[in-house]
Amino acid sequence: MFAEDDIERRRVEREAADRAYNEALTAFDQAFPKLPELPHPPVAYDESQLAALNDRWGILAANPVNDLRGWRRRLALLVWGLFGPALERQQAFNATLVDHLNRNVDVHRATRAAIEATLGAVRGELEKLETFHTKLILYLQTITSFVDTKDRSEHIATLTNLTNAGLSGVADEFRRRWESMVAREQRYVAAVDELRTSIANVQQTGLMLKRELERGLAGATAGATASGPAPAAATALPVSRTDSVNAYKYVCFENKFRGSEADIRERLLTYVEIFEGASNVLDLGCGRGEFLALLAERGISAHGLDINHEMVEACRARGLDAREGDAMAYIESIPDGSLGGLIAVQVVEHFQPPYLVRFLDTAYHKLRPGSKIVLETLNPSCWFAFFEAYIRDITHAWPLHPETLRFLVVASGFQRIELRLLSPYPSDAKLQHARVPADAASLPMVNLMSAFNENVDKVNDVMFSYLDYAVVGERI
Amino acid sequence: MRIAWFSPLPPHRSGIAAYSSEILACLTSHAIEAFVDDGAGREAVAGSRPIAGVAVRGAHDFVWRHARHPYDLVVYQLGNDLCHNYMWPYLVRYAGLVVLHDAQLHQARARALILQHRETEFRAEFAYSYPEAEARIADLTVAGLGGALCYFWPMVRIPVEAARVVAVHNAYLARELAGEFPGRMIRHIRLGVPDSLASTAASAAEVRRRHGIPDEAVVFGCFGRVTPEKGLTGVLRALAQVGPSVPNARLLVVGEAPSYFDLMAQARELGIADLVVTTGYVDEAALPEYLAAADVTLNLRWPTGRETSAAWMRCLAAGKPTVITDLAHLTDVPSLDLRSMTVACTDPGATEPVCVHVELIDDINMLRLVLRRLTEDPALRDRLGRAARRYWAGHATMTVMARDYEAAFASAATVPNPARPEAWPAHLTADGTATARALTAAAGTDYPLGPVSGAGMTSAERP
Repeated sequence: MFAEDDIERRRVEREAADRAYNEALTAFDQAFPKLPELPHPPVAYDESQLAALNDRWGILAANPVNDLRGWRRRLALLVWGLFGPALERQQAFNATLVDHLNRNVDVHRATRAAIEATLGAVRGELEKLETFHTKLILYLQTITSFVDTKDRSEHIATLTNLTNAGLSGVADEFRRRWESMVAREQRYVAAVDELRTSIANVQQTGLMLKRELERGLAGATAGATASGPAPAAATALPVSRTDSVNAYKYVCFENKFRGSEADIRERLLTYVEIFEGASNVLDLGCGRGEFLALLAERGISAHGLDINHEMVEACRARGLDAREGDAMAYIESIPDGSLGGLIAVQVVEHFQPPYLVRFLDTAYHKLRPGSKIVLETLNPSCWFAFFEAYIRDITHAWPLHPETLRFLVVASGFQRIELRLLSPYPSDAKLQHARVPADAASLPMVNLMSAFNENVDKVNDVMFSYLDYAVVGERI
Repeated sequence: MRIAWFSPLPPHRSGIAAYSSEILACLTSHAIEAFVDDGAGREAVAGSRPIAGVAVRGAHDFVWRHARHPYDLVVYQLGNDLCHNYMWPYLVRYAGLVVLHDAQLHQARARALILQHRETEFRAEFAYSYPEAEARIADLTVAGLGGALCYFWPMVRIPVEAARVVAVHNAYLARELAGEFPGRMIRHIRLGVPDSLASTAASAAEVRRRHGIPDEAVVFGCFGRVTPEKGLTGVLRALAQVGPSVPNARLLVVGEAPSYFDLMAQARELGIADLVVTTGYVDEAALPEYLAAADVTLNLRWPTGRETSAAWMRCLAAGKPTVITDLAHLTDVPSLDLRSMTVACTDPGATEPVCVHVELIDDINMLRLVLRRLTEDPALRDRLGRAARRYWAGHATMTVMARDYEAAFASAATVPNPARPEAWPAHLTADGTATARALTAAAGTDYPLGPVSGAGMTSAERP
């Protein structure tokens, strides 16, 4: 991977090289001389007087004296004697000159033809040179892109190989780390399981000791009561859910506020998978038996308990196994490790805290190892749920914050705790964000709206979050 | 039970060939016919080393033999090597017990198809195996650029879906595959090897003398084909770093090396050539004496296809202290972490280490510790060696493996053939008649070709 400045340096170098190349190419182009203006061949040899000269070079008659007789002959001889030699030389000169001229006619012609041919050849070669130059320039221009593309493809191939090698290396390194982490995880998981079991054993031992201590204290108190004055304040007894409300009224209340049977059934469906494969599940506060019916449909044996007579009767009318009684009293009466699961939906908020703590401690012992407990209740950390639902029901004894209930379940010995937030408040019913019109947007307005919307979120978070929650735990 | 057994056999130099010959000798209560690759000719059949009670046949004879007299079970020994390619046409048509030696088939499958110019079919298999993955990933493999990336897409889906039962040689892999392919029957067959000490009649001293190794030297042996996967580059680096403080440590590398991996060149570069001895290829018969000459064996392996190494098991059987790479599928074997001298194992109750492990992310450091500690501490070597032998006796004998095979046979024989997934690439379900029609048409005939109806073959098996 190149550093950014390295890439920039390479770009600058590349541009400089491009520039230098183009300048060199231009200089090369300009350095080639323009095709010179070649001279024309000389004009043709002037032969116009040649014929006349050939006609007139002879200035003497063939034998000027021989045809004369007498004095004319003598006079002619005298005159010939005086002028004849000069005239003969003149004629000889003329003859030589004309002969010379006649002889050079061909030379002149050949010379001119040679000059003309030479000039033509030179011109042709220069034209070829010019064509070569043009083609050379074209070649140099073409080779630029050729080299560029060739470089590019080789560069791409190199980059591809580099990238692939890098990618492969990163993948290998990633897998090495992943493999080491998975190997470690395998051992950690095993160690955590062992630790969890040890903790469960310690917790169980602590709970057993606590129960023994309570029994011992109760025995001591009973002994003291029998033999001495009554204690100043007796331990508060747990308060069960509908002591003060007539049973039939609660059925009506449930019908009005908890939702229809179909609604409840739909909501409870999510818990069925938790008890898949279990048997003898206790549905505490079974109400109209919606969950018992769901379990029965899946072949999971279960029975219900409700303190409300009318509810129990409603279940029985549907052929479900439901019993009437107090939660604490009932689970104390059954053998340890006899339950394959326990669910209490919208029940624990009806318990006073001491009752709830005791109930959870006991439930832990009554459940078989590996079985689950599910406690669903209203979520008082959601203000709407608290004010609109929790306090609406006069049988609610104590609101349970999710973290509080989780803590109590853990403290009772349960492990693998899961907190499920349920029944989200409908988004469209929550406080809504304000929207700033685009044309009116100014910085102060945007800031104001932003602060307003943040506050809307905060209020929504505390007032309109999740109406219910469930704590799911397991007895290890 | 009448069983058809697809596997390479000796003299093929594959670990699975040796494995098959060993286990077949222990399954003599069944009528087993071994089918080897006869794609290059019948010589492969004739040249196979005989195994008592096992008839060796060419794979091309399987279809008609099965049609004539159906086998009760077909067993496929499948690994990430080209030598297993010949099984694919059968395993996708004749469901059986697929023994998956590597949970990583990408490279071999890709290579086999690409060599036959069947890139499109490779792409189709990749796309089917990983419908949500970017399809162009297959192009990387086709272009020869897969590298380590292939390990992210092991491509075992098709053989797993084709099998009645899949067997693997470690529990971790069995769990992983069961999670990845719910509803498929995955079994764990413990890997067994013969007793290495039973055949050791050789003199370790003679081997040492032959290679100029002093008697007082502590020999770290590495066995098998010398490839980068054996982690020897790291061993050399560690040896170079600790060499002066442990002058007695020697590295004995037994096995042939490919041309692209020159271990001695690396050793020379690090200045430790005098501490390293390479033997080149050693005949199988001579291996026990080399094993006897080693004080510690290095059984490092990376990358991994989650294979369980028979070579490592042989070292355990020989009672040698062994050094392994810390891999997820080996965490159920108690191993010693030399940094803390603690026993690491998924069984928290394990207190006796069987081997020493080297973490991939701290390998050089841990290899330095290995070389130093195991050279200087003969008591620890002795303790590890005895624990190794005990582990082999309890978990990795041929008897143990044969018992697991019997259970797998019984299970696979009763399981119905799985339905072929509708979305399988077409070439996996093609019955070949289209090719035959094309051939007959080219020959100028119009023979009415149709699917073969083999006696005793189910519709899923019918080619």
